[in-house]
Amino acid sequence: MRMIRRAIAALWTTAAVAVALRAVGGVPVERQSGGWRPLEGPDLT
Amino acid sequence: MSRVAILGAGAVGTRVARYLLASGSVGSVDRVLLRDVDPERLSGALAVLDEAAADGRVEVEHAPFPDQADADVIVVATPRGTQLRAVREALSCGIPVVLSGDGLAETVAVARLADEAGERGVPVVLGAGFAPGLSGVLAAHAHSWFDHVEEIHVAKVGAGGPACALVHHRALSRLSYDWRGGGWRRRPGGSGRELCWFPEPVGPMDCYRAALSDPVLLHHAFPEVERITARMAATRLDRLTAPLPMLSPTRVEGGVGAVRVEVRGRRGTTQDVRVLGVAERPAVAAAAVAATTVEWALAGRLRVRGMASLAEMVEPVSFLSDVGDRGLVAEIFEGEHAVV
Repeated sequence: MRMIRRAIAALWTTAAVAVALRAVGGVPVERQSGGWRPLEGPDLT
Repeated sequence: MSRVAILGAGAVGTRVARYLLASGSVGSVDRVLLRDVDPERLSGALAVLDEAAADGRVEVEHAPFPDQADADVIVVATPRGTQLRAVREALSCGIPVVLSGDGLAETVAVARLADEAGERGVPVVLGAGFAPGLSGVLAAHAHSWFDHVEEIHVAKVGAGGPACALVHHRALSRLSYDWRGGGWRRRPGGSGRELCWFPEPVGPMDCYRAALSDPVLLHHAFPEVERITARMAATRLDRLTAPLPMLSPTRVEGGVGAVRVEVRGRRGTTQDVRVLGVAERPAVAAAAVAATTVEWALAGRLRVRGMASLAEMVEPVSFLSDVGDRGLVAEIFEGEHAVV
């Protein structure tokens, strides 16, 4: 019985951490803006 | 006028023949000999090469390897497991070889013939395809912009024909080799997810480690670079089914693929990153690269009379210009980074 209670508590804790991370967000992600252009002119020297 | 033997009449081999026969440049090819073990593939190739075949410029032979190849260059575009023997046979004939294979194990096995190629003074170009091949040339070009290069990271999307798709399928379940800090690091294929942004129309794709030959060839070309990795795009289903045999037959040819090469290093006193890429159907791109390499070999423009990767064999700017004439447009990513 004690073991089951511990397992349930562990599951609740995991779920709570997952929800918290989901809500707060993780490590800041480096956002890229820009685009591709053909290599030409001085790029090809 | 020259004669080129092409081993393998698949998606890449047939296109190499078409490019070479259509070429009107210096070092153009007079005759092409196509060899394959599959008569259906040969008849399909003849249908594609209709006009040249009618002129008698194309010969087909239902045989695997040349015993006495009467050719100025041999292109090896055969499936995995046959390339080593093909290169060995070509070397024994003393004929320059252009190898378009991309399997890691076979590339390493072929590289063991380097001493023989060097002794004979016969150019053998390893990885003359999309990736490896064009990826190495892009890396070499980006390398020239830096005072010191620290990292090269290659990523690719897509497969050429069915043989290439099988190599990619297996690569996800094999160990990948990354060069890091003076040694090879073995990591499981399918690990190390990274979102890579490829040239349009491919766009962003999740890429994973795989048993790819790019790091081996790039390390050979740029031994001073401290970190070299290669990844390939895959879906969750690809990763899940990678250890199994291919469950469904692949299409004759895949859709648009891409290569992306990220080079990091120092320019003057600042750290910098350059990202180059090309988007094209992989078999078309591989054939354009192999055909251009053949023309360079016929014109005596290859730098090494022995075995080396394409990045070492050619002058990058001229080569990019030549493949650009065949529709392969190299692109550069220009953007800003902002932490949000």
